[in-house]
Amino acid sequence: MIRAALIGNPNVGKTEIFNRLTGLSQKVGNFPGVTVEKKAGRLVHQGREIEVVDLPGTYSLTAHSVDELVARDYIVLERPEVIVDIVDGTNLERNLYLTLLLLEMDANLVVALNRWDMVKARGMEIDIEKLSELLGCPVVPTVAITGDGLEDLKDSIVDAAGQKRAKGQDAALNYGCDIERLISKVEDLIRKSPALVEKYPQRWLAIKMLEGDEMAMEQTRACLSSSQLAEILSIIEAVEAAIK
Amino acid sequence: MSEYAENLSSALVQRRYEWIASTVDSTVKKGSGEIFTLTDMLDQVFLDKHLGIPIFLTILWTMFQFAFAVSEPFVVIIERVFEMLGAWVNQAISDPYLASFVSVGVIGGLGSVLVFVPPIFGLFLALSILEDSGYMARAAFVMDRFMYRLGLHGRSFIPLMIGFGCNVPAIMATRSMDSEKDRMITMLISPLISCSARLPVYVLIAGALFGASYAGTAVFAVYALGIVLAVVMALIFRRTLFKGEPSPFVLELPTYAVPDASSAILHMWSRGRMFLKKAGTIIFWATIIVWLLSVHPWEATSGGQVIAESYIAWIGHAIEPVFQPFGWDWMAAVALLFGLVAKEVVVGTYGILLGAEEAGLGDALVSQGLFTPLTGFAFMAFVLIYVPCVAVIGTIAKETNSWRWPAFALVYQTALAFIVTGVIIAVGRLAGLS
Amino acid sequence: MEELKHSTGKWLGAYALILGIGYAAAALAEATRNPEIIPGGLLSIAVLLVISATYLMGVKGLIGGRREGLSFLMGGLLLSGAVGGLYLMMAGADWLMYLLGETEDFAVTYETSLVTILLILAMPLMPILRKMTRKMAW
Repeated sequence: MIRAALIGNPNVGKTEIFNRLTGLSQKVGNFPGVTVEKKAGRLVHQGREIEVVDLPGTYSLTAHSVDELVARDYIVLERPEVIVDIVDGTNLERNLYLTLLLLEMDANLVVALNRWDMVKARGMEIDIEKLSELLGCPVVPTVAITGDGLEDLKDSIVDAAGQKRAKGQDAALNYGCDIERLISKVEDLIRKSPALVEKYPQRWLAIKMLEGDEMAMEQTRACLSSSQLAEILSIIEAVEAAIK
Repeated sequence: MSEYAENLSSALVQRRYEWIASTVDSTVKKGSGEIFTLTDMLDQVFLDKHLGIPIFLTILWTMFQFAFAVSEPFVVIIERVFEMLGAWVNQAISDPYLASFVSVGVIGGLGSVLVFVPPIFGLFLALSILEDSGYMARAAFVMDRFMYRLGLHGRSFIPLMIGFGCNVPAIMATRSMDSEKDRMITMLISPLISCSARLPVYVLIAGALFGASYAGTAVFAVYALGIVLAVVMALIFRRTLFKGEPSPFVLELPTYAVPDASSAILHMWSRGRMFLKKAGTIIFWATIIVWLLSVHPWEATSGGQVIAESYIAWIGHAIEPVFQPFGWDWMAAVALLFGLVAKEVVVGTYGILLGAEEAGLGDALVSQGLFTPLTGFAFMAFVLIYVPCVAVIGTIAKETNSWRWPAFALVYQTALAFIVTGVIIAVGRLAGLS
Repeated sequence: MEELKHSTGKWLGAYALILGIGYAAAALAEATRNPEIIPGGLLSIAVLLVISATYLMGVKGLIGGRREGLSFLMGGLLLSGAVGGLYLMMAGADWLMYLLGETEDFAVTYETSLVTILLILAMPLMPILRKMTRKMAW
C-alpha cells in the first residue's frame, strides 16, 4: 500500500481534491496526541492501493501553530511514501514557500498545480517542464472542481512511490555559500548521532536548528550530547553576533 | 551575511523568497493587462462599504430561517416516530419496569435529542455552502473592523457563527487562529453564543409563558443577551487576562465558486457527526440516569408514577435553596443540574418529571404555575449562560491541553449566570413584576 | 468583459430600478400590513430593504454603462434567488406541516407571494447576465 499525504495552503482546493480522490471511503480520526482532525481515505490506481491522508492547510511549517506542527510531525515521523503538495497555480509566489519547505524534508514530492483552468482564464502561462526541473519533482496541472488532471496526479503518485526516497539529493534551493557552510557544519554534528540520522532528514533538521525552532531543539535534545548542543548554539550565536 | 536580515532565521526566509521570485520569474508569464473576474464583480457588492454588513446580515437571517423554519416538519416526523416507538414498546413489553425503562428512559431520552438533528444539520449545511462558495471569508472580512473594536480578531468570527449550531465544533474551529491570545478569548466567549441545544429550552419556556405573539421576542432577546455578554466578556478578557491588541488580520480572500453539492454534504456530515456522537453517548447516559433516579425507590414512587417520592425529588429539594431567590422550584434545580451534561437534557428532565409528552409539556408548566413570565425569562437567561455542557468543557480541555482553562470557563460562566439572572430578577421586581 | 453597450445598460438600469422599487414596495406593504411589530417581522422587512438597496445601487452605474452597475445587478439577483428560494422552501415546510396534521389549514402567506412574484420578475435577467459573463473567469 502506498501512503500519500495531501498538503497545501488554505483555500487552494485541497479538500476538493481529497474528496475526489477518496470519495466516500473517508475515515475521520485524530492525529496522535492532539485534537486536530485527521481525514484519511483509500483508492486503488493501477492495481496499487493508495491511502491518502489530508493534512491541515498551512502556509508554513513552523512550530507556532498546532496545525503546522501536526502536518510537519506527520511528514517527518510517519514518513508517507509520497507527499502531494496542492498549489494554487494563480498564486505561485505565495504557495511555493510551503513547497520549498517540503523539498527540504527529503520527501517524494508531487506538486499538483491546481486551478489550472483559472491560470488559463487569466491569460497566464506557466512552463510546467521548467518548473518541474527547478523543483526537482513532478508537477501536474489539475482542476479540482471538474476533476481534470486527477488521473495524471494518481499516475504521478504511483510513480513517485516507486522511487527510492530521495535522501540527500541535491537541494533545490542553495542558500548561498555563507549559510550553506553553517548548514553543513550543523549537519556534521547531527551525523554523529545515529538516532537522529535514523529519525530525521538531516538537512531539514540542520536548517530547523539554525532557525532556533523550539520543537526541533526539544525533540533532539535527548539524542545529542550537551557538548554537541552547545556547539550548535555557539554557531548560531556567532552568526547572530556577526549580523549585529 | 545578508544586510537586511535581523537574524539567521529571517536570513533563511529571505533567501527562500529570493529563490521563489526567480523561479516564478523564469516559469510564469503573467497575462496581459488587468483582468476583471466574476470574483471582482461579486466583491464590489459583497464588500461594499455600505452594503457589506447589511448583505451579510441578510444572508445570516436566510441561513437561520432555513435551519429552523424549513426543518420544522422533519422535526415533527422524528417526534412521531419516537412517539410511535414508545407506544409500541408500552404495549409489547408487559413488565412495567422494563417498559418504563425502554419507553421513558431510552426512547424518550434519545428522541428528545434526535429531534434537533434537522435544524442542526440544516445549519451546518448552510454554513458549508457559505464556506465552499467563498463567502465565509468575506463575512469575516466585512465584520473585521467591527470585531477589532471589540478586541476580537476577524478570524474569530467564523467560530462564533458555528457556535450558533454547536459550541463544540466552534471551539475546534478556533484552531485556525494563529495568535494564542486571540484564540483563547474566542474559545472562552464562544459558549455564550446560544447553541441550538439551548433553543428547545427557550421554545418550551417562552412558548408556555409568553404566548405565541411574544414568544419570538423573548427567544430573540435571549439570543441577543448571549451576543452582548460575549462582547462584554471579550472586552474584559482583552483588558485583563490577554492584554494587547488583536493580531493583524491577514486573510486571503479565495475566489468564489459554485458550491459542489456532494462536498457541501460531506462537510455538513463531518460537523454533524459530532452532535450524533454526543446524542448517542453523553446525552443518552444522562437521560438514563435521570430516569433511574426518577423511578426509584420503585415502591415509593409506585413505578415512576409519584415523582415527588423519588430520589430525584430528594436531590432537587436539597439544591433548591440555591435557586430560591430566583423563584424557581426543585424541578428547575434538578433540570439545571442535569443540564450540565447537555442543555437538551433540561427539557428531557422536565419531560420525565412532569410525565408529559414533548407537545404537552408547555401546558403542564403553566397549569402547575412553576414560572411567572419574569422567573421564566430569568430561567432562560440562566440556561443560556451557565456552564455550556460536558462536551464543551472537555473540548476546551483538549484544545488548551490543560484543566485550568476549562475549570476557569466553568467558574466564570456559572458566576456570570448567577449575576445576570440576579440582575434580571431584581430589575423585574423593581419594575413591579412578580 | 467588454464595456457595457449604452442601450443595453439603459434598459438593464430600468429593470434594476423596477426591481429595487418592487422590493421597497413589498417591504412597505409588509410594514403597514403587520401592526404588531415583532423582531422576526422587522427582520424580514429589513431583508427586503437590503435587496431593494442592492438593486438601486446598480441603477446609476448601469445607465452610465459602467460594469459596477452590472455587479450590483448580479448581487441583487443572487439575493433575490436566495431569499425567494427560502420563502418557497418555508411554504413547502408549511405544506408538509399541514399534511402531517400539525396545522389546521395551509395557505401561502402574503409575504411569500410577494417575494415569489418579485423572484419571477427578476428571473429573465438570469440567463441574460449569464450570457454576458460566460467568458469571465471566477
